[in-house]
Amino acid sequence: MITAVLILSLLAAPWAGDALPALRVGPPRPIGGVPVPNWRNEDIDADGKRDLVFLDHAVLQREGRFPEARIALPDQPGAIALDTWEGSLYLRSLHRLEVYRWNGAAWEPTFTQDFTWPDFDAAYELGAGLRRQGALRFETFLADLDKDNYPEMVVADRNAVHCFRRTENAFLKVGEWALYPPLQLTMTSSRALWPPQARRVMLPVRQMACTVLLEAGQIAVLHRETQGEGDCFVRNSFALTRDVNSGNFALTPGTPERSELVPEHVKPARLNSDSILDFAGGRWELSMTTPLPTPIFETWASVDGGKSFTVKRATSLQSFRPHCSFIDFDNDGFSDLVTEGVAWSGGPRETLNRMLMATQIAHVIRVYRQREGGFNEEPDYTAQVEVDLAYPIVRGGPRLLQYQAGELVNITGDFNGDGLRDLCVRTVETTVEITPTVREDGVLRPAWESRETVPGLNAQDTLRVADVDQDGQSDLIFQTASPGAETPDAVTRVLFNMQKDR
Amino acid sequence: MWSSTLVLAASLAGFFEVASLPLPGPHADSFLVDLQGDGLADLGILDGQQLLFYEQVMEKAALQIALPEKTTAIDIIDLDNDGWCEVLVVAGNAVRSTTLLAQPPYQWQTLFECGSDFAALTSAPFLHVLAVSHQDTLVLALPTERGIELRALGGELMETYAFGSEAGTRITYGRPFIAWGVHPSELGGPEALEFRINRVSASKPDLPEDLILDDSTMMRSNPVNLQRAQLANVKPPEKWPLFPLTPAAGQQIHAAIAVSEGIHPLTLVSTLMEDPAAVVSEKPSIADKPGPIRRYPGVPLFTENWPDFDGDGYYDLLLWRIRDLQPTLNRVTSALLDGRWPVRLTAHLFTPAKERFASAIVAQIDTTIPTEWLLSAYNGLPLRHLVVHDIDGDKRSDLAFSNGPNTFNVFICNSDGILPAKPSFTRDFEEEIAELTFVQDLNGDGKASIGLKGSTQFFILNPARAAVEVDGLAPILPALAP
Repeated sequence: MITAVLILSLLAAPWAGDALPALRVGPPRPIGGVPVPNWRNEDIDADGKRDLVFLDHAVLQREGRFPEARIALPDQPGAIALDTWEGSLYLRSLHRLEVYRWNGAAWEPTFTQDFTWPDFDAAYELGAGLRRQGALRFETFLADLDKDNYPEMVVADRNAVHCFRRTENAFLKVGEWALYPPLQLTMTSSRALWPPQARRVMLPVRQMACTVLLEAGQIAVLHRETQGEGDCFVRNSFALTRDVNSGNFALTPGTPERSELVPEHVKPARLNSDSILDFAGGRWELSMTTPLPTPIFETWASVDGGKSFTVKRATSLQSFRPHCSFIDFDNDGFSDLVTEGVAWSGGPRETLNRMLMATQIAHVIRVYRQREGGFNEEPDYTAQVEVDLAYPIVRGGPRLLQYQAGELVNITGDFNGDGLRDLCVRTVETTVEITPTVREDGVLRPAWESRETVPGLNAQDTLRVADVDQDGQSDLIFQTASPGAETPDAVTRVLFNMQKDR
Repeated sequence: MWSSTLVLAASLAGFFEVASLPLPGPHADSFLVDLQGDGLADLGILDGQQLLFYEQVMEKAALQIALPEKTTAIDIIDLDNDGWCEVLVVAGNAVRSTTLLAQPPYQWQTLFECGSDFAALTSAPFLHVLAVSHQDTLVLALPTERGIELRALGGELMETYAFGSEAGTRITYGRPFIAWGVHPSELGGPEALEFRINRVSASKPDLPEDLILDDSTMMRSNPVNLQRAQLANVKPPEKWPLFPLTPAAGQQIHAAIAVSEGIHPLTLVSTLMEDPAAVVSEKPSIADKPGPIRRYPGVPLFTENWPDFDGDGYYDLLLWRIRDLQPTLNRVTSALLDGRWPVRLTAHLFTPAKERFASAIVAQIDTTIPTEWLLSAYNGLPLRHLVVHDIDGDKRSDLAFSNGPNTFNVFICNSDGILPAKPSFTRDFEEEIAELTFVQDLNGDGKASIGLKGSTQFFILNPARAAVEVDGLAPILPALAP
């Protein structure tokens, strides 16, 4: 099927749209702002441009657009995992690894190896029946751990992390690392001891949950540990070295690190590039210090291993969820803290009147930049926008639900590639406004004078922001709500910024 | 020294005596136990590394026991069949006990040592059924890597029941192993490989018949709640969440429930019959098509137990809604600034002959709640510490709830299944009620006591008895008597 090319006449000049029906992207992650796409960007035709690889087809990039027909991926009925590496497709099936490369006309197999994956059957025997039948998905299992420009393959099973190194003819196992924390009982809440009929033998459920991170010559295993009246996080790190003769990797354990006890509503995060464990999260509070009970969203962050927390509070609507609370707003390598809320003005009566009558809501975004050791006390960037909800707040409606889900305002995109995140707001149902961020005399501000309007959204579309073509400039995605029933009027479209040097 | 008070609620229609007990610490938890084997429940409090026990309606802690170091699991049971409970704990690899008949300081006796899953825990102590009766003998059931081990009180291994992949019954708890890559990495740099690993080990062991397994954690809880009911509103009744209208299993009538959104929500109900021939499963098989949709103003109070106010064996419908149907600016401003919001509860009895809830309201309770409770209502439930339970032992559901931080109200249903408009009992406590800890018949007379936890005290609402000792100390355990 030839991908339709839509030039939307209503668009402002720099924006051009391609219909990409298969493309879906999730909301931005609350920490980092990266959305989760259903494709991989990979330069499969070696033209220097990163193409789109979906699970069943690929679309080539041509001059910042995707106008050509879909290229079907190799037919691999038993494949369960797909990863990409330097233009090649790595397909794992139940007992085989196959690598393909696009030769300009067809997919050419470049490597095949029969494989018995570690503890594979045990790992997938239950709960994964669909995958046995070839439910393919993207998995990340390739990384160049020894920096020799060839990827190692890393696979985790229930007992260990296994590493395979590419030789000329085969992937050979060069490491098996049993790094996981032990299983522990999970059901440790108190049980009834009386009356006698309530006494039961408890079903022991034992669980282990951890994160394994392979990076820059080391492996770290992070897990939560309950300690009396709270939880902390434990990080066990191991230096990773490769023996030149055998090719095997060896692990040298470091000193385990244990964080302070941290609140339940925060989780480990990477807010800067230092080696100290960071924490981030948020929670709702109901403020009673004002005449009206006011929902407050608190954003929490620690960049010192949980010893101290920065807490920023924003007045919000009930059930509002910020779309992204931590993002590197100015491209300095530090994740900055973002709060979102409502700008109520006037007394309680005026506030109530607005909730009963007004169809617009004043939304405020504040960015607190991270510096060495913490976050700035005062916001470095503040923007206030009016968002149309179609109905008064008290009447609800789909726009209010979209607003509460954080889908109408987005601060994660950099639409002009200047390194500063820009403000993108779906001000009314069918229109998006993009306001670039500028730095003047070291001060960040929204450049309202350069605000740009992009029409063309369908009412039922979801607005997403992602750099689909990987050109360093974010693109707008008008994502249809019903991908299974697409019509020319209701299909996911990507609007690319064609004016590269704005 | 534990101070205490005992307060008779003589002026409160005589329904309850209210006892208050000091809360030793902010994380203290209460539990019920029969210390003397007399069929009467006593109150225990677990506060970190110490146990406190109170006899019924007791005003001071009769026993105070410090737990051994590394204690994790705690059981309280009569191990030696002398009529008095022992405290049994797992502390590291040691299984230890102490008798409550001894004088303090209590000496801990090590029964035996063996490794178990409890040894590796670092959590705070918790209550756990360790001792169970098997073939008329008291044995200890300890979870280990190999399975549930049954050990004699002396430590001899009697039997092991595997619960891993070797378990006889292949019922599992969740997915045994999941590993997935996070791309791009959240905790590492752009080139990092990040995996999330989750491993769960549990399968249902084939236990002998006389050992009953608490497998409630394996059940997929999928209760009817407000969110599900609201989402169902746009679907046909065939897809609405079902709620059984009788507690008994087997052929029974169900209500399919949906709730419309907006300022004036309606509860939509359609009744239908379960197919008795269908295999019993989590989701009942429905034999007939849903009946007509009937609409009732308000939102159901989604609670663990649904009420049966008239005791006919069928659940009834209890709804709530905002009392003022026209939220004008003046009314809303007034209510908000006053800090109280008027709400109305209404009850509709189920009529089995007509297979529907009656449209007539049989009970109506008007009350007010703090405005912030309306904003922070969990599961759409604006009332707190809600109890739907037969409190007075007449086989009819009664109702109790807090409508303010310090207030607790009880509404006792009359013989016609009608809730009174005003509370049968109300009490303003001197501190905020933090938690409803139990609703339990403590002495087998069919009447339920209610336990409430405050910030510094436990409150126990006991059904009024003919004679209550209020002068001086209530009797304490004989072992401690002078």
